[in-house]
Amino acid sequence: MKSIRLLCATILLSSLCAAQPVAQLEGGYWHFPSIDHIFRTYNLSHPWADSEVAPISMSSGFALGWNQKVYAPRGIHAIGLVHYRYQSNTLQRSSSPIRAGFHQVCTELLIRTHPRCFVKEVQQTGPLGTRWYIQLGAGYSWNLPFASKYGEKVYVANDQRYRAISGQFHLSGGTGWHAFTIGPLAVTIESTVSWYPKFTLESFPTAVLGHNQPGLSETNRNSFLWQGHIRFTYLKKSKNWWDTPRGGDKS
Amino acid sequence: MNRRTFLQQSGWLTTGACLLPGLFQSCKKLEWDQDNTFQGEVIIVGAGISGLYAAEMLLKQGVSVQILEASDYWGGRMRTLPNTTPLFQQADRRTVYGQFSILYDLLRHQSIEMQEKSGSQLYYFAGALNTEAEANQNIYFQEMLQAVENLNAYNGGDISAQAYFDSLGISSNVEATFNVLAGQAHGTSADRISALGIGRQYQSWSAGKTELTLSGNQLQAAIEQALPNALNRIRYNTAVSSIDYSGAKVSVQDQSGGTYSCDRILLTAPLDVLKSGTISFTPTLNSAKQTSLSRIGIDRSYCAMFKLQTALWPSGTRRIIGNNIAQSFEVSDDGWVYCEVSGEQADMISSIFGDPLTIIQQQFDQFIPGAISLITDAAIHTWQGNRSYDPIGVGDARQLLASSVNQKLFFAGEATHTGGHHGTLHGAMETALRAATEILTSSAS
Repeated sequence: MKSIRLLCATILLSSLCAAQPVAQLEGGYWHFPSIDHIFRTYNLSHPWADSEVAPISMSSGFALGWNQKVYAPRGIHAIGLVHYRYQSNTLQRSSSPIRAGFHQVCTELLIRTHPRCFVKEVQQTGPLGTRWYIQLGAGYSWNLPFASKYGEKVYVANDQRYRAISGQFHLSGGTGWHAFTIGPLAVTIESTVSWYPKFTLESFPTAVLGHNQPGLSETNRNSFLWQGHIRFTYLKKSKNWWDTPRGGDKS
Repeated sequence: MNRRTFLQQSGWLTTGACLLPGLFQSCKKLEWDQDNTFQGEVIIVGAGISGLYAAEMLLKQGVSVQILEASDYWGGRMRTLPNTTPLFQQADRRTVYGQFSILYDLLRHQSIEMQEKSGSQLYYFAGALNTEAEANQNIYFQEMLQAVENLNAYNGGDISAQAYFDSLGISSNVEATFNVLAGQAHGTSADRISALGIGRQYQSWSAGKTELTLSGNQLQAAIEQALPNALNRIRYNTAVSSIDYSGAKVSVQDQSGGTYSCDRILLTAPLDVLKSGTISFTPTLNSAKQTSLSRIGIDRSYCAMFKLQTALWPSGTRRIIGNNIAQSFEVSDDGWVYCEVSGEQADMISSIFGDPLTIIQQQFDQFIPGAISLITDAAIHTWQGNRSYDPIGVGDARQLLASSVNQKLFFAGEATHTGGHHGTLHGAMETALRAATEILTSSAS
């Protein structure tokens, strides 16, 4: 077992040496009706309130990782990323008696290529492959939810401050376009959708409402995160490889 | 890339990034989903805090609501001494248990000033009145306090709190104090409440640990401001005698023969009323529901208040705990005394020949000699059921009591709370939220 781990680490390290480091900024929109329902129930439970509390919608964050050429004839690249995302109901409306959301750390492995690669070889023209691409991948996320009322962090039970970590797998897919370069940095615009079969924020209803008498679910089936990214890839060669397209590769 | 192209493209990107969140900001609804919401007529039995709160939420969703109240006042057990003078309402200190509770939110929104509970306590044992510092030097007192602390983490067999105390072999000198802290504090006596119930309640408590006080007048004023629409829907002096939910509509009859019809009915009447059988059901409630009523405890309580010309206790004293029948007296610097006697001790008072108020005053005079001659004003109210508690064998009784019947008959009130907040005002409100969401998402059977 030890030797297998050592072998994997060696392969990873050597491939990383040939990889390009990547950093990206991201913003997104969450779709998880069960989690939204918790906030709507909060609003129902405050009929005297002057304004409603917003649910969690927006996400913002960044990621670091590497881009690795996997198979040049088909223009296949792999990207490994570690994301940090922050989402809170106060991203939309800053004035709210309750602030609730979650931090998310996500590890992800994506495979990027051009659709034509499924049919024939594509003529790769540079270190990041074709200019326009699609990508598919999978990852695992850890959620750390938080909640505070009137500036004080809430309890959930047994004299404990609210702190609950949950994790889930997801699949993601998207498309991107290498827009331009700034010196050694390639700037890429990307749009992705991530599908979470089962998304959980433990004890979130109790944290938001102060109880869970209505029996609200803390889990949402089939959640989606739609994101836009701006990715910066450090190129060891700073040439705009797409400025002189060659035959067979129209992007 | 040249500078112009870079600036152009950066500009588009930045503009898009700024506009994008705005596009989705209004995608999510903030209000309760009204597409799937019940829109019919609801009758609520009981104008206590639970019934009023449920009514306000339902009215805001466009549901037609009528509240039937047996007495001539709203608030139920929110008023410890109903139908007393404003002087008593002002002096009556109510406690908000927890800064994360819905009640706290309501009071804060109404800008009600609350004070954190503070003050010292005096303990009567071993033939003398002791300050906290003196009491803490007594080893039996320390053991007793530790026993009360350990009850919060109790997860053993289902025995009474008294049996738990007896098993520790602590001196009986501090038994009365233990009864106050472990029994009377829950609206009963230590020999009736389950140690496991106390532990589970503490371990599932999620309303926060801060205790805040306000006057009875402030609490009433806050409710009037926060739930105005509900208060306009009350029909007073209307005691419900029967509920027929066998047909498409629910038929309700009161003791005067008046009849009412609705699509849904929400029962928030106190547990002792449900137990007494004064409300008959057609069809009769299933055996599980009926059994659940008997498995949840609720005892008689005497709530007495009296005013002394001058306070005979040290300034800053919050409570005096005695060792007789009436064991806990909350006091203030301006001479007010409030006493609540529940459980076995209340039964003992009712078995003594004499006026309960006088008996309680005499009990107080034993700890504070001369007090009885200085009393200028006094009032008492007897609650046949004050607040519920978990006796031995309560099991899942609260879940069963809280469950609706045929999507027409719904139950709320502090006794139906399944998350450890039973016996509290905010607990009653939380059950009202549960019942309101059940009604809003109910469909005809």
